[in-house]
Amino acid sequence: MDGIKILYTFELPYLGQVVITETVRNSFIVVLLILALCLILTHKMEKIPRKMTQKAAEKLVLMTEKFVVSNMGSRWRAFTPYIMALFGSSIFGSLISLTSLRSVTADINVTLTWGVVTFIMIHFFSIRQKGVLGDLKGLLEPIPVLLPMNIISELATPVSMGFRHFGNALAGTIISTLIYQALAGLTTLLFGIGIPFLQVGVPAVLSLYFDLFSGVMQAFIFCLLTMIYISNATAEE
Amino acid sequence: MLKFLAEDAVQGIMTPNQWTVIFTLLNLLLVYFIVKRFLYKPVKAMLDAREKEVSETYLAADQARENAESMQEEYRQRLAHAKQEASEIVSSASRKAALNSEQILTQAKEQASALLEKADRQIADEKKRAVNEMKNEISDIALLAAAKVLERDLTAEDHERLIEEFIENAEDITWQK
Amino acid sequence: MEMTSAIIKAASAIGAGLAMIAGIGPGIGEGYAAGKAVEAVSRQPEAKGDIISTMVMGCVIAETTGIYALVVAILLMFVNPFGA
Repeated sequence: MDGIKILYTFELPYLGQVVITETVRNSFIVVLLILALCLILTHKMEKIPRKMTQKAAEKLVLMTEKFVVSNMGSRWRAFTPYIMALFGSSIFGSLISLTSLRSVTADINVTLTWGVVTFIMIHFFSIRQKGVLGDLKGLLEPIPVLLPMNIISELATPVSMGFRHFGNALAGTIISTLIYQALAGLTTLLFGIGIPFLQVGVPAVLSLYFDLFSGVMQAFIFCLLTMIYISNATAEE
Repeated sequence: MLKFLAEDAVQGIMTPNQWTVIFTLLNLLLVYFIVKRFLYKPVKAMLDAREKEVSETYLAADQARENAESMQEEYRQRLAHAKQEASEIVSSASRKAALNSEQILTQAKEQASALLEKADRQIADEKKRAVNEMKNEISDIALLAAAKVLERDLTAEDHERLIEEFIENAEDITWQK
Repeated sequence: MEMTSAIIKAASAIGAGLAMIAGIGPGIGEGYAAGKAVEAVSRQPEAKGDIISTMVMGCVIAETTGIYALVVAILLMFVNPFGA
């Protein structure tokens, strides 16, 4: 299992050495992909939808909105674009591994950042609703003795979210790599030739599960957790 | 400034890298704005516009239906009014007709009675005239007869007496039409 | 010296494998939770959304231990904390 390739570095005047890794490049590709997709889907929309792209765009927006409203209530309707952005970033970041690029989500820096963003959002919305003291009072419930446990579980939220997504994506990548190596060894062992032709079709079938299914599942779970944590933190008594 | 790394520089799998974190945050923000600006808002605007149009159409349809209903009500009232008027007209006409016919009848009766009276009068006159004529004729005949008698042997007294007698008798004759 | 490094590598790999035994716990726990959720949905299909979100929430908390095991295993395998 290789590490993450560092593609290039450059110096910035005050910020020091900027390191561009594979992950960063791939995440820029994901951004461009999402931009292109959005532009294609909403291209020349009409009041009466005739094109498949517009129908798909409307379906996508309405489904996500329904997903958000059913988990957070209708007052969080404006939260839909963020969930769409997170879902899109996560899903394309995972599925980019189908094109033999390294998946964006198999980098702990990425998933932990998303987890920390969720953590900040939870406490931002909680403080906005209940005030700083109201937010901190949640740590003393149900009894004040549980304060250390509550602090740990609060801090564990972003960590567990980040590591869950990272672990799934990385596990997929590790298993794909192992399968590639095993197939190469198997071809040499069985047929005694240096061309690992077994690598052609077999990994595609397996990556259907390890990349596609678990990528979609993890993106879904990450969004669901973000919504559930935020709506729990701001639940009206 | 930009420096490619010739060798395969590799970052450990769990190594923290603040630049990856920064670019991830940046990309998440970028994706958020892209999704909001290029997908969410246009689609929502489109859906809202459609909803507005649908509700406007419904409103217009409701208004049209209300209009139609009020019109129908008006027509029904007007129709009822017209029926009433018609029946009034018919009844007044029949009343008038009845009145007229009565008048005509009475007039006719009067005329008929007048005609009858006139006819009666005429008949009476005729009768009188005929009686008179008859009287004259009879007297003429009597005179003639008397003259013929006289030619033979009659006196004036006989003559006179005969005439008287004859007239008396003649007056008893009832005339018939 | 080479022997030490080899032993450390082998022990790290064995340790990673042992750490992943922790995967049993979340597996059983989440399976149980999902089974109960299926029962609940079949009893009350109209509350499907609430049941699923509650189940996912519980599964996520149950999965935390498994994820910690995974982190430990990954650390042992790839980060090499004991310096081979």
